[in-house]
Amino acid sequence: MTDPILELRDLEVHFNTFDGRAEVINGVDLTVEEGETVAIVGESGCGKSVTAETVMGMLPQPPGEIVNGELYYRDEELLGDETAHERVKTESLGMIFQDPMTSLSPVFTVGEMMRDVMTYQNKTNVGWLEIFRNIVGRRDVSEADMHDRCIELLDRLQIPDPEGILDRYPIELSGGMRQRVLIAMAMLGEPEFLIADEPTTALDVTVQDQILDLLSEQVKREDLSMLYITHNLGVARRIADRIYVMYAGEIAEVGSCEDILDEPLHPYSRGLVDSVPKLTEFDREGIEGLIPNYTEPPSGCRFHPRCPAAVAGECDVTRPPRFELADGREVACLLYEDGLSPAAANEIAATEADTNRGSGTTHGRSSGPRESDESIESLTQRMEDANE
Amino acid sequence: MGFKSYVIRRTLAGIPVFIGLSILIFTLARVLPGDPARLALGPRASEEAVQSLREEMGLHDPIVVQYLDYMAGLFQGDMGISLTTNRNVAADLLYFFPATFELITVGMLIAIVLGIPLGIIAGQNKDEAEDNASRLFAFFGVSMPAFWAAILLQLLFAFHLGLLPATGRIGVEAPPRITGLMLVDSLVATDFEAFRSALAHLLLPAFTLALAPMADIARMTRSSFIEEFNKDYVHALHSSGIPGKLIAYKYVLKASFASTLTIIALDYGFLIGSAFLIEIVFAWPGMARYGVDAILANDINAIIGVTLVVGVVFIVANLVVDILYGYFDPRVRYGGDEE
Repeated sequence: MTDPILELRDLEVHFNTFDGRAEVINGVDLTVEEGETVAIVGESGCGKSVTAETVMGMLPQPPGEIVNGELYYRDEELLGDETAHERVKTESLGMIFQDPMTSLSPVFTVGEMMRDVMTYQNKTNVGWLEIFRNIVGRRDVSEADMHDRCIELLDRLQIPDPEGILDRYPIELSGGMRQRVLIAMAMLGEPEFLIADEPTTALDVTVQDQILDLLSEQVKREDLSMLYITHNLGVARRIADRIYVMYAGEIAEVGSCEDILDEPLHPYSRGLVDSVPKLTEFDREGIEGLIPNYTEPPSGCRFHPRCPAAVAGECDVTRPPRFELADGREVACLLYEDGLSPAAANEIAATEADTNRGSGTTHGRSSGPRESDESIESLTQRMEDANE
Repeated sequence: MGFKSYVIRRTLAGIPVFIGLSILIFTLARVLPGDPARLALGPRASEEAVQSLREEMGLHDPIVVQYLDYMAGLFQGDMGISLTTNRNVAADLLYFFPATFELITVGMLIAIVLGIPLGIIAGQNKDEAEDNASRLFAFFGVSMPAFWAAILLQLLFAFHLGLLPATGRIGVEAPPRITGLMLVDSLVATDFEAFRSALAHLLLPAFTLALAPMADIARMTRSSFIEEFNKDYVHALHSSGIPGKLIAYKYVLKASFASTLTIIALDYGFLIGSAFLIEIVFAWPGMARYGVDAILANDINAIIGVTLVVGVVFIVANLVVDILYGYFDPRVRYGGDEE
């Protein structure tokens, strides 16, 4: 295996809030190989965006604080070296944001913004004179070159009338168009590594689809590596090579896209996959409860208060290490201690879920045995599907 | 819809405002107690003479007719005869207004030139020493009575340091009157000695006048700067590689300028009000003395004239700012914010 392009080791990020110190990221490891698209999935508030912001060097500090961890980009450590981070960020990283409505300046035209992005490529600092010259409209770089480059990019992102778009203000564009412009702006700097923080969340489904297509097309074409943050498993399935399932600031499970979505191992991943609404099954199990309070995170496994398979005396005491299974799969759950096979573990999980359900304190909704039977059925069904 | 049509729409919208204003002022002046004809002729004039003057002034007509007469006169540059100066009010205003206009405009320029950087410095160093100093200054500027500040500044700069003249408008022979603005006239006449003197006389009163709006502008700039700085697009632009300094002084500044403009427009109108006091403290030969005299003498035509001019300055200031507003923020031009 080649060296990963990006590697995050044991990241811990805390936030100082009015309620106390929130331990939001608690030991996240993450690697992205060259040319690979990695998705981080998890529910809202699990620390996906904080992870992305840390990689991008955009974590607001304070209130955020990186307590521990290393970030390697092509073997260069960045968290301890701000100038290096800034340099790598402007030279190699690009980011696409969640909300295209607010991510473009409302008072400048698209062309003006794109021109500035191109003019200041690879520059981290500008002098007063340069700022003044810019504001009064003097530029050194050839207008024609820039124009061509912008037009070419906008064209590639299937924006109709790219010439006209350059003279428009963001409010004159639809959400889908704005997101395309944002992608174009991220691509302008010719990054090697893209970070996309839920770029399709604010768009309607048909536009989401187009944007995803365009994005994966660009990634393939330029041979980019990408870190894609999403809570949408369908999106992750379409775009990612590997998936990190994140829960409450910890990585619950790592594996290839198919592995995770077709045969989730961690009880949380299973709940997550189960939460996806489907046309044929209306009675979903989903996951009870909410993300824990970060100022007083649960002891042991952070998921145990919501976990249907939690074992009292174990899960609330021991923080599960990540067990490595075959094919680069990793799962942080005590069920997989002693090299248990996924199938066996699944069975234990299912039975545990069954016995816990009656006396469980965290489940308000599901108390009848019938439902539990169904869940065993669906789990075994899924296991069988996976084994085929 | 382009910028041009926006400007035209805005300008046309100023006309009904002016008409409404003139009706209001005229009516108020007419219903106030006190008979202008009697006041003009003095207590010992015969009733006959008073009646004939009333006839001559049109005071027997219905108020609507009087208003229309007045407006018809206004458009021909006739604002009635002032009882105190015995000249046409229009001529008086033309004589006194430029001095006041020069004073408040230079005052506003000082306020803008100092207030905006103060606000930016404060906004960029939120809650740090610079911010606290700037906020303290702003607090001081708003709460200090202008006439008191005027006296302090006179004491310091004129009497103790002897750097600037304490009162008056010019110390040498005045340049030939063209616009009535000393600074402009002296430049047109290429009389730099006069220009220097006019400027020196102008600095103290203009600065005193600028204190309050400067503080307002600094506070507004600070808060909108901080607000804009936390918007998503700032992070987005930064991540696409535009240097932070450029984002701050180009993108954030332009976006945050709209709210500062609003304050500038309001303050510009209020400046005329504060200028009345300042003009008296600095013996500035502007509209203030004329206005005050008119009010004390119940000189109706002059009162209407002065009030109308103040109102027009308000309207024009707001019009200019509305247009600038449209320039700075394209969302305004389209008649709505879509966000």
